[in-house]
Amino acid sequence: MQLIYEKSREGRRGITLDALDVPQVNLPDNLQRAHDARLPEVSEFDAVRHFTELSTRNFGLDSHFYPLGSCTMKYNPKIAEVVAALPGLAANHPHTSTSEATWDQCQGSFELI
Amino acid sequence: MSWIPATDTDRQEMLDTIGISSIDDLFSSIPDDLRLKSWDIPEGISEMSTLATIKRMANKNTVDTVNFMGGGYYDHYIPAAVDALSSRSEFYTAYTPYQPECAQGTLQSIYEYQSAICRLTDMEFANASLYEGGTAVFEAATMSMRINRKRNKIVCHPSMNPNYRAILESHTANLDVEIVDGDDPTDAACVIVQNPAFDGTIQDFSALGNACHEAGALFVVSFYPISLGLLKTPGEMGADIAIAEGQSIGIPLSFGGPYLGILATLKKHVRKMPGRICGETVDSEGKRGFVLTLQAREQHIRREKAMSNICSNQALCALRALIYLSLMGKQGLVDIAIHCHSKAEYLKSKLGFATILNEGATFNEFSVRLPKDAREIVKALNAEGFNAGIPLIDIGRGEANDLLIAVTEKRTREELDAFAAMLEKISCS
Amino acid sequence: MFPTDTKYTKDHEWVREENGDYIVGITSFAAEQLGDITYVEMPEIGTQFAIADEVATVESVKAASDIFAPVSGTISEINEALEDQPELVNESPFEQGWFFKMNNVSTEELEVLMDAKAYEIFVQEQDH
Repeated sequence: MQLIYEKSREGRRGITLDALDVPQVNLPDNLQRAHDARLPEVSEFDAVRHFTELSTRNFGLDSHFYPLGSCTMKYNPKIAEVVAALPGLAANHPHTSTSEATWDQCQGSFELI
Repeated sequence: MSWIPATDTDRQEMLDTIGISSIDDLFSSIPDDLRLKSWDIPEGISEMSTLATIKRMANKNTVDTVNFMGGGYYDHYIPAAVDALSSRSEFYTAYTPYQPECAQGTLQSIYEYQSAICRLTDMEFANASLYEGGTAVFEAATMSMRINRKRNKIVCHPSMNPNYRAILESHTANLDVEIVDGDDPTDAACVIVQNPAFDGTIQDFSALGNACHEAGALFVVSFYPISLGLLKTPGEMGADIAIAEGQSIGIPLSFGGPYLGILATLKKHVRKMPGRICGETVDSEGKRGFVLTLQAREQHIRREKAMSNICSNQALCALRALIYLSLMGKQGLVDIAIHCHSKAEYLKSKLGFATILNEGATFNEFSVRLPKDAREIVKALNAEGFNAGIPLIDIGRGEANDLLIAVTEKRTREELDAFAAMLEKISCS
Repeated sequence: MFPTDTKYTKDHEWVREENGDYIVGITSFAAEQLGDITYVEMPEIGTQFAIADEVATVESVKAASDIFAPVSGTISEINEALEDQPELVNESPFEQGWFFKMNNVSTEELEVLMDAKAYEIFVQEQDH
């Protein structure tokens, strides 16, 4: 199976942003990197195919029995994934706990802990 | 609610098969006076009630605000495919990858992640991840002392996130380590800088990197992944070790975790690097495969002499980061960085009523001195639907009127205009 | 069974004099126990060690073992071939798989080490 880098095609994009709605400002030259990072150039579809294929090359508890390990061989109920992803929890910034001025933004997290 | 499949009948069958009369017999080797007699745990509740209970708590958080809070963790957009792909249970219920025959999916994703980090930072080797950005600082410090065996002084540049500084102190409290603040590499195992700095300032640390090498100290750079869409890289500045918090590339804020510790280094130091490393190899049929390598650094082999006692990683978060970087791609990361920087500069231009405290260029975060108490302003702005930022006095990095503001690609011009107007209105009232 | 012009320690290091230098390595017994050697972490040339100090580390696929100074002395040379060919330790533990050389060695400490015969008996006892 190829690496995601081997599947790259110059100019392919996964995600595009909206057009910049403020004037573009460039950084001083001496603070910039010389070359763009050679990250993959794939479409979203390429990425979906790639990572879906990768997932099939794993033994996961949902699909297989593995008599290995202690901490990791236990089944966790699916509801755990659901609650962790609740926007009220997933989008709560940790620094709301830093200042009393923002504590009313994280009362739920405090209560949960 | 029980997700343990066995019924009482199943249990009885198991007991009969192994020839004991009760489950308690399995614990007979533990002396009776050491056995737990009771515990104060409430009865379980149904899944439905569990969801309702936690939802009620989640609803007490305020997350619908327009977010200008940074300080090491940023409100960036996470593409839908990141959740969709990393939520495949083959990834999130996978076991640790020490049995490569069961884990080629995980291992190849780790290998691709390590490669992405190297390409992002211009470093030569990356590990499979650490816990988060703060402990990554500690790991870089101890790695420096393993490389520079005769030195135990760690120099922390003032650019460092104060939380990371505190983590370094607490983790080394019982070790023979001296931590000093400043930028003098004399007799130091390493000097650790952060770019962008905690207050948002960016600079070219190449000269300090050279000074470190001349003084025999390692040069460690703590970076912000999104910023490397544009910024001079740790590798370009001569870093021996590059570390970061990876939350900004595909991981939700989640009130502090799970997050992603990133660490990368040069080939000459790789045997001293902590954490797991995935390498490429061939199987018995000559086909490409992946396997954890250089395991003799780790504690299951080297015990008390191991590079670190971490025998774990944040594989799922690293996978999310890899998917994010793949979806953004070469150009996408540049675009996001341009958006972040330009929008921050735009916001700055609308804050003439306040004083920008940074002495020099910033990326997407900056410190500002407001006309009155920052906490009061933040509270008032909360009520208007804005999470205005971090009052710097509350993290020991500024005066009462100082505020740390971060701008990401998610902030539209309308939001920036509205925020600037409201900030001015409340500051000057 | 073991080279007779060589002395041995209880930690399975060997030491042999050659033109004024003292060459140190690990025995075939040790190499076998460790399995395929993957890396040897060498001391710095010029460093002085006392007898039984940790001088080097040898890594195999399943273990990382310390190598101790068989006698007090100063490191004069290291076997750079092991950097790219650590397998020499398994293939030729007493010849090409040498680790390092020492000088300024304490000859009294040398006298006390086991000879080949004593080491052979010692190894046989290990197997019980």
